[in-house]
Amino acid sequence: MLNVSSLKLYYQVRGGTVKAVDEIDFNLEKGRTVAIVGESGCGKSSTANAILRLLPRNVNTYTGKVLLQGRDLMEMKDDEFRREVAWKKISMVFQGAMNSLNPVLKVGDQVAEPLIVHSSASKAEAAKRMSEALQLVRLPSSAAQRYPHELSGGMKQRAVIAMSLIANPEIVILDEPTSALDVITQANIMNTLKTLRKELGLSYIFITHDLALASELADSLAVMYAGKIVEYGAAEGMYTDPKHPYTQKLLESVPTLRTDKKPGFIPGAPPDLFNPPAGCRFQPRCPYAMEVCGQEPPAAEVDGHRVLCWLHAKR
Amino acid sequence: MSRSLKQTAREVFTSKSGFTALVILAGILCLSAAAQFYVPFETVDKWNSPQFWQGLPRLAAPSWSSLLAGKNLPQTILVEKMDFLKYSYIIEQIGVKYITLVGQFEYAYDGFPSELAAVVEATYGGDQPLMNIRLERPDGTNVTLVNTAISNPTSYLYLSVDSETKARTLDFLKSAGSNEPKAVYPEVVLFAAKGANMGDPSMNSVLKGTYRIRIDVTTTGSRDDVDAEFRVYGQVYGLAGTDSKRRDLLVGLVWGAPIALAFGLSAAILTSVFQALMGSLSAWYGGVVDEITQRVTDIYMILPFLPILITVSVVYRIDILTLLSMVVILSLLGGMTKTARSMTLQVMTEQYIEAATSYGASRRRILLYYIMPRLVPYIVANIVLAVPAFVFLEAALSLLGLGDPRVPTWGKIIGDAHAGGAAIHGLWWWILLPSALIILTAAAFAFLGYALDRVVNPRLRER
Repeated sequence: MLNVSSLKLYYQVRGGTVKAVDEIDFNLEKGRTVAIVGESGCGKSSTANAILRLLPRNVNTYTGKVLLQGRDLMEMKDDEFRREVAWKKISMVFQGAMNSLNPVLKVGDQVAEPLIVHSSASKAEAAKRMSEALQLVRLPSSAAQRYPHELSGGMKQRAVIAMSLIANPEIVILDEPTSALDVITQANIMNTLKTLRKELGLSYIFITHDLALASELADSLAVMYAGKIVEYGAAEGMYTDPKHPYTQKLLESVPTLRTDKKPGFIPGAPPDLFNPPAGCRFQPRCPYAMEVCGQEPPAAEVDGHRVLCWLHAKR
Repeated sequence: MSRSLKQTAREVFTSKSGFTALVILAGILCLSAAAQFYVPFETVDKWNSPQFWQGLPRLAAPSWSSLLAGKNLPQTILVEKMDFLKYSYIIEQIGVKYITLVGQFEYAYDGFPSELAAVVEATYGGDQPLMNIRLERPDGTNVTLVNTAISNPTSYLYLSVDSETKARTLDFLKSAGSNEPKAVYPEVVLFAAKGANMGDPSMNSVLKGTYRIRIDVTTTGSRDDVDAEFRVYGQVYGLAGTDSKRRDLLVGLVWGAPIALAFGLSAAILTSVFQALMGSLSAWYGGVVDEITQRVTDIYMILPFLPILITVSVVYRIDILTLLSMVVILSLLGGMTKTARSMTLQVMTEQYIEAATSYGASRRRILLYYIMPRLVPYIVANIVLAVPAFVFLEAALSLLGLGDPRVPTWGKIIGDAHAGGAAIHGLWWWILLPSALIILTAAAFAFLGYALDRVVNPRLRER
């Protein structure tokens, strides 16, 4: 349904460009979830922004193909995109629900706001859709008359999800939807998201740094490192049999509850996107680094995974 | 930020300075409301008409200064037309008509009147009638004040400065056995007890009792008629005294309240809101808009405000609305533009703005519904603190003679006092009362500003 290929988003900063998203490809089927995982600053949120065209002023390069049901979104004009795609086809739940609500709007008005700004529904209909959306995310209807600061973190997050559903989108981008919540609330929200996916047939692009959380929702997994998707494939295989050294290290770093195994760590720090290492970007931190890693690694298909690593390259 | 209005109001009200401010403001608002009910606007309309204020004493202190002085200072006594008893008879053989008007009043004050005046209205067909005005004092002595022909249908006789009256008073003084003073004040001598120093206001004493005023008119027409009014102007009047043009200062002060409030509030609201809007706009649209707005603001901020206003009001006749619009136009951009810009730069990086962009809210909508509301508490605080500045400005301009000449404002009254030499002559009420009101108003808004500042500026709320 959504097909992203060779998507690039470079930012211009003083003295150079930051390659936040660098030629990424992935695919999203209807009713499915692709999770984009990775460390902070690896370009996950930039990917979301690139798909929804939320571009800052300092964009340098913004190219690639984003096919939605066969239609290339990249070729649409800005206002066309805003009118037809934003929120109606693809909506987004922003990182940190606490700050995604206008503090001076009542929650109900805020949830209905996307309909209002497009004047795509009458006031009465917007109100009706709003209360339906609140019901979907299991918010009491009384919440509509409250201001954001009067709601708990979990309720705010639900309100933000309700807002993302108000225009009946097909794809919802969830950018760290539970990052500021405690574990119980997190679990509640995740359950709600699962139910919604089933009931409404939604597709999710789920952005998180939390591999365990990703496993709850994801059908396929895209592991990002320094602006590139280094490994992409079905979620099951990824957890049991990771191919890329980065994915392996990432999984090793997850602490386990019942074994004595010490969690592993990745030496070094994520590379500077301003001036990334030549060739494979993971190479300075990679235990398997070889000479050939100084060159751009080719994409290799291994057990249905697309891996960007010289280890798996057919030579 | 996300506090409700009710909460803010409560916090302001419970703070000491906020409470003081509200009490003062309530007082001033009551004064403004009272202005509408007790002093009809026509009275203010006649502020500059000398006729209207005839019946009031000149430069009279407020009545309550009697309490301060510890003696019963004279109020104005008006012996009106209907108070006079009229007798007339005609001797037909010689074709003469005699008309006699007799009025009387009680004088029991501890001070002398400030002025004496008579108004004689005569209707006559032939020759000018002859008139004799005589004052009969409680001690039985009579003094003729005027003996002259009536030359106008309505004659205003300012007896205190009339040379004939002065001469006749001097004669009376001599016949009463008093020393001859340097200057003769009929209003003093005529109301003084007999003695050696009868003509010296600082040494004589008041003769209390019933005075009678008798006007004899001799005329030739049988249908001729005469009416008269006798005025014994006092030294005190009303709650706020009068000025050199006999105007009741209370009228000016009461009407000054709504004018000061309206001027200060509308100037403060208009400039603050517009400045904030421009600042926000500048930050939100950025780029060329930002650059131009900020540079124009810089120019505005160094513009010599007062000289421009003075120049304009010298060239054109300025009324209060023109003055208001001049002030507003000259402060369209300013400090608040800078503040609002920096605050917007901060607010616009917040997530909900990005969210709004993503669901397609227009840039204008985001500016008006997402960013501006966040600035409202600061705009309100700024308005409140700007009001006293504009009240002072209006007063200063009026003092310089640049205000609206037709409307009495507090500044205008002080300006008149300055021109009338109030400070030199010790006419304290003329200066102090309007000044006190200006200070009180300014203080009220300043207090309110501090209280609001405490609420909207959380760093000040520590204690």
